[in-house]
Amino acid sequence: MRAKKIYWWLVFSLSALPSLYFGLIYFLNPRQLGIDPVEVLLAESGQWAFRFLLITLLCSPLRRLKLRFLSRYRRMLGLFSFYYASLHAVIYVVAWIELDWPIFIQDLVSRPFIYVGMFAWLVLLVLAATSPKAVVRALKKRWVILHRLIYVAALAVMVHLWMQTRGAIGEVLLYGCVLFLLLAERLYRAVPLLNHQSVGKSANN
Amino acid sequence: NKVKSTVYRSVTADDGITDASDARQYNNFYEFGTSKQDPSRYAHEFNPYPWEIEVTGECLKPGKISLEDLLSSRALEERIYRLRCVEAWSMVIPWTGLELGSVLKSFQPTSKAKYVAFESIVRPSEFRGQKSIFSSLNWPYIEGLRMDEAMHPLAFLAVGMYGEPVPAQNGAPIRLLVPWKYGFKSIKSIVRIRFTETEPHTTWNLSNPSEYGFYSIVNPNQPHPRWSQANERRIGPNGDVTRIPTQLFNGYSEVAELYRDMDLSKYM
Repeated sequence: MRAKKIYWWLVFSLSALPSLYFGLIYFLNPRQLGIDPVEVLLAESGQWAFRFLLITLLCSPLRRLKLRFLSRYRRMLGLFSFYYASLHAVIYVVAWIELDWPIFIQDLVSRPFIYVGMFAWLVLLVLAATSPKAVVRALKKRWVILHRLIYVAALAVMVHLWMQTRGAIGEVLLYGCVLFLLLAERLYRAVPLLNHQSVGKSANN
Repeated sequence: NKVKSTVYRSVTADDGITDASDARQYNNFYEFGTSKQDPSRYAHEFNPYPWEIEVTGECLKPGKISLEDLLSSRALEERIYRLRCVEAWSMVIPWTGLELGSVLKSFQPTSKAKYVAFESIVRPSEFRGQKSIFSSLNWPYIEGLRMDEAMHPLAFLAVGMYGEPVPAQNGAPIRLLVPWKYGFKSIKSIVRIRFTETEPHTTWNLSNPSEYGFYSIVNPNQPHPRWSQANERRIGPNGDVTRIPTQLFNGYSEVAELYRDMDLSKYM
């Protein structure tokens, strides 16, 4: 019981660390982040949101390999993805466009990478809002179906990242490969599942 | 004598000058790599000296000119220019150099010379970005101007920045400045100039024609397909970054006459 609590705090602290690190530098000496510190905060918060989304998606495959450690914290990791995505959205609205609402509306309506990103955040919001244990119990099987939306969010984030790439494709390729592997593993498993096994077994994918 | 021949232009009271260290550490120069820090990090790997520029095409006096001959042939000017990147950040930088038009005239372009094409250096052993498989650009980096644009008094060839030779990451030893166009038009480390009759290809246009046109004039009313160009992040004095409205022609309204017969909303 004690060890469990220590692990919980360990995972929680490690997950919160990037935001504390960048937040602290920003408030103490923003110039240390780079020439345009807000740009760095915007990029880092977005990247960490995507990283936690991918780590969340990694929990189930690891569990299937009998590596159960991470999957215990899947909900927390997913919530951290939402946390970093929310920081990303707030930095964009408050620090990047400086609450310029006409620009915000224009971006939302006419810039695909902005509305795709906003859509991904909305999906994560729905997932976060339905993550308390009581809601999971209340929704039962519908919760499982609803939370498959994480795949939609992951694909939207991938498109969001790809659409703002200019010249450098290394980063997009790296994230793309990781996401592809995570989705391919599920697809591979889903096909025989459709043929032989009962639907009930898919409850935790 | 030096002070007398120095000409200061196009700086307004509101435009504070960007810190030299910022202008040297926040660069787009994909030959060194695609991140903003790559150029300053790897600048030492590039040795620009000795340097010469080859001039060819529709002109009476083609040939090669060394940097020394170019500099000793005329007085240098200082100009303080706004630099507006297509990515919506900007700086204000003092440059030392020569008016592009006066240099071009010495090669005596013919009446067939309707455009000027520029080419950057290719030296993969010194520019690690030219070896990278993760770049979507092809080398050499190429750019171009219409002849009247190139002859406009604002078009400038810089050899100095903040009173020192242009650092490698900023396009040593000689680079173009076309301050009313997005920064990528201002080609760096020029090794070749060619007078042409037809519109030359340009690197970013070849890479993504729907996003980067030949003209690429700073225009707040024409958004980039992916982001607004109405505002810019000015990296100003003391490292202060402020969001300011972008001006048509980057504020250099004297170039408007070059485009009086063109519908700017139709030309990217």
